[in-house]
Amino acid sequence: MTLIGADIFGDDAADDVAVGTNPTHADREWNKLQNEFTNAGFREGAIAGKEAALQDGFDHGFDTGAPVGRSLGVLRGYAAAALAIVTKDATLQALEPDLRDIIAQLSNVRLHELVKDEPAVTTSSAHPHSDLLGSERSEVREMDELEAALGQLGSARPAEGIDGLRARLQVLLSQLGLPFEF
Amino acid sequence: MDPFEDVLNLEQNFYNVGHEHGFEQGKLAGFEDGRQLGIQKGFEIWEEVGFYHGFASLWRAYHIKSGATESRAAQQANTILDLVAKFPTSNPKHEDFDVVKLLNQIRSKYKVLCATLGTRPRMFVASNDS
Repeated sequence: MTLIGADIFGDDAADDVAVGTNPTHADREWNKLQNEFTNAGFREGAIAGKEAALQDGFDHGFDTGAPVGRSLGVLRGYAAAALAIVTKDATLQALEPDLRDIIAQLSNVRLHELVKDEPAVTTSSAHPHSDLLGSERSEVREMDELEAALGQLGSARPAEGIDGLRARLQVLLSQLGLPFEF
Repeated sequence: MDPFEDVLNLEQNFYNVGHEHGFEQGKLAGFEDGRQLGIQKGFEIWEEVGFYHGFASLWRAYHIKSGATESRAAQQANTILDLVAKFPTSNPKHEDFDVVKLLNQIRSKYKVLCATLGTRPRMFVASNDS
């Protein structure tokens, strides 16, 4: 009896399931390895990328928000000073209701009405890591809209735009003989 | 050249591919998050500064009209306008002077002006103080 070619371990059938020759098993291992490390890389890359761009985005946004806030604030400031002037002087009493209405409407103006806010880039919400990439935009906006809706409760008319309010305030100031300079 | 190098670096290569992709996506998301916050903060801060600007402007005009440019209130209004003119329109973090200090200065001048005029100062929400 010769051992050559004999199945000494009794595992002839093992050839069929050997790791190296089973393509599905190898693929699975490969994919698992690839997924595991690609995902880990993605996660850490996303965090690093976010941090890297946050300040740039902030500065960019600040330059957008500042002039809008300023023009609204100036109107509110003028209106507040005008109210003080009007209420001090009995001969100006007739102007007070209109002025109070302008002030009330100015206080209801919200940021999102003034900034037509389309994000420069959108990240797909279908992305597997959208939890990492998601922005807080919708949250802020929802709050804003809620506040605006609450602010308008009890007022029969729809809110006027800021341009209309500015025009009304200018008319009122000219009746006081005072300029609107901005 | 080590023929096994690629195989040995396999894990690192997968990681690098993921990292690169993640970094690009993260940059987009981070920029947008920062932008939203920046719009909000720029708006809030300048709404307040703008308010002082408008308030002081009208009082100055009022005092000019009534010929009381030397009055205490007129001078206080001018001080506010001078301070407001120094306030930066770009992200103040990059300026070399203390913006919080300047804002507090304007706030206190505004309160002084209100006291002189006998009007109640506007109340600001706590978040504006941060």
